[in-house]
Amino acid sequence: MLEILQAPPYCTIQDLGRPRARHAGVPVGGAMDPHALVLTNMLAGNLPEHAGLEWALGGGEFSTTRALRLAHSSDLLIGNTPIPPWTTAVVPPGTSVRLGPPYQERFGYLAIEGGIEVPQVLGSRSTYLPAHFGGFQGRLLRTGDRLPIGRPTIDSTGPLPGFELPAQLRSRSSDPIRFVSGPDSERLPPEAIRRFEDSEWTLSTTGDRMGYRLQGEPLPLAPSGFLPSAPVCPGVIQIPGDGQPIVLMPDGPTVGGYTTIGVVISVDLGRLAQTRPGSTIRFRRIEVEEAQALFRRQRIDWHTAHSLSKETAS
Amino acid sequence: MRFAPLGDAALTLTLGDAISLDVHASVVRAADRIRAARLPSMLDIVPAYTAVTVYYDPLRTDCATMQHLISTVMASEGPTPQTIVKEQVIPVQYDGPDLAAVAHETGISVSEVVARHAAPLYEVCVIGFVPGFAYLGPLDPTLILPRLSTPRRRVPAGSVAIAGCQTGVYPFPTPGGWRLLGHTDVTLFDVDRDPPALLAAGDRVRFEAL
Repeated sequence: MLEILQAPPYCTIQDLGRPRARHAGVPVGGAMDPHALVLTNMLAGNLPEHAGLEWALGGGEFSTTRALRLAHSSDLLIGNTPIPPWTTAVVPPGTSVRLGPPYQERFGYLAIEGGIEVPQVLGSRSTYLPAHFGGFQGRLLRTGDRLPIGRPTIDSTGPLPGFELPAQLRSRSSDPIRFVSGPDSERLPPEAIRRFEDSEWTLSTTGDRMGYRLQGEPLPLAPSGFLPSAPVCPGVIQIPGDGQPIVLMPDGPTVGGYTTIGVVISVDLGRLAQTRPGSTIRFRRIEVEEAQALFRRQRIDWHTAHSLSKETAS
Repeated sequence: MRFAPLGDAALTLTLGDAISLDVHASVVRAADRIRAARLPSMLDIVPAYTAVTVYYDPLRTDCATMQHLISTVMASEGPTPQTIVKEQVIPVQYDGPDLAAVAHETGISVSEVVARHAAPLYEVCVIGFVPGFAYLGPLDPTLILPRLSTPRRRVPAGSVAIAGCQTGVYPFPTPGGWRLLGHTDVTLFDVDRDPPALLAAGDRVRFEAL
């Protein structure tokens, strides 16, 4: 059992989401930065699919009723002992654990060996706030909540305390966010994609788990004409009437009616999610084949992290 | 028929440019056909007004292979798999806050608005916006009005509403700009039900005035 002594801001239970319920209008959801959640899971001796905690900006505090192996992406104090991020730690029962705010990022992640074992809803433990399901009672975590922890996986020989993830696996580039064009890019004036790539965009402060707004020189619009609502996905870059792009995030709607200029590639969406409001970003177009090669490479990185953690297993 | 990648994990097949019942019927048929092929790398399939999107796992396939597989399925001979078209009757209390204004703006009586909204057998065109929300159409042409100029911050769950040539029921309390004609006690979406959404694209719906 994990007891929340002080809930971090905007704290939810997230895993890798529910990719098979979109036909019912249910977004994929899941961690805003899946790469960070998976790496913390690897450090905690979990599988990529285990559910962990996601929170935004601030910190919080919790304690446990039994000894737990855990890992996190921000600062952590176990009792009075500081634990650097991206390392495996073991918490003795009854000790308070203080979580610091995410490092220069937007979302922090905490993985606990065995995962947070709330019931699965439509194949996932992710919290989906707009329809109040998944996670813990379909809502943000509050101070005083007590969360069930799963048993360690059968082959669990998790990493030793102090195991640190190699820097190259967790490093984040500040290169432009990559996207593939389409499916409506032909409806836009030919200079729209070039202008989108050439411009510097500022991340608006109104972004949430559903979508991020970009502010900059307005993009030229498609010739007016009704566009029937079509299926979309996280990463879709829509151009509404004011020419200021909106990027759909994991809890965004499953269909949309604005022109889609392109889609942020899967491996870069978490990096965009972690960009703080007010920061400037750029975008670069790549081909879908390259995006899919990068997708496969990220899975190899996850596998590498898993193998490395096993080598130091206790 | 044209294909376009929707990012690195989905492919959209567009079958027409304008909304029509014919185009939508071909979209629903295409979705049935692709679904019946049980492609192992396919995660989900979502039909909409003029397009159907196949979501897939890029660890198991790639965009070109997926396009080839779907083209092959679409070109294959043989009958479209028969899926049962479900018909749902949704009882409605026509007491919505916008009912009088809709009557006023369309120049017909409140009872005529109700009669014209409850008369058609609607087609479920798309499921989306929020879980279980069904875009139903086509609406009686006399009831076509733009969305509210100022959307409501909170539309109650079960609200039966119209916008443009569409009608629908809000499954959850959400912000919304559609005009509210009434409400129903029918649960549109319930995670404990299988399937959770009451309606699926291609189903038919009739509203019954209480």
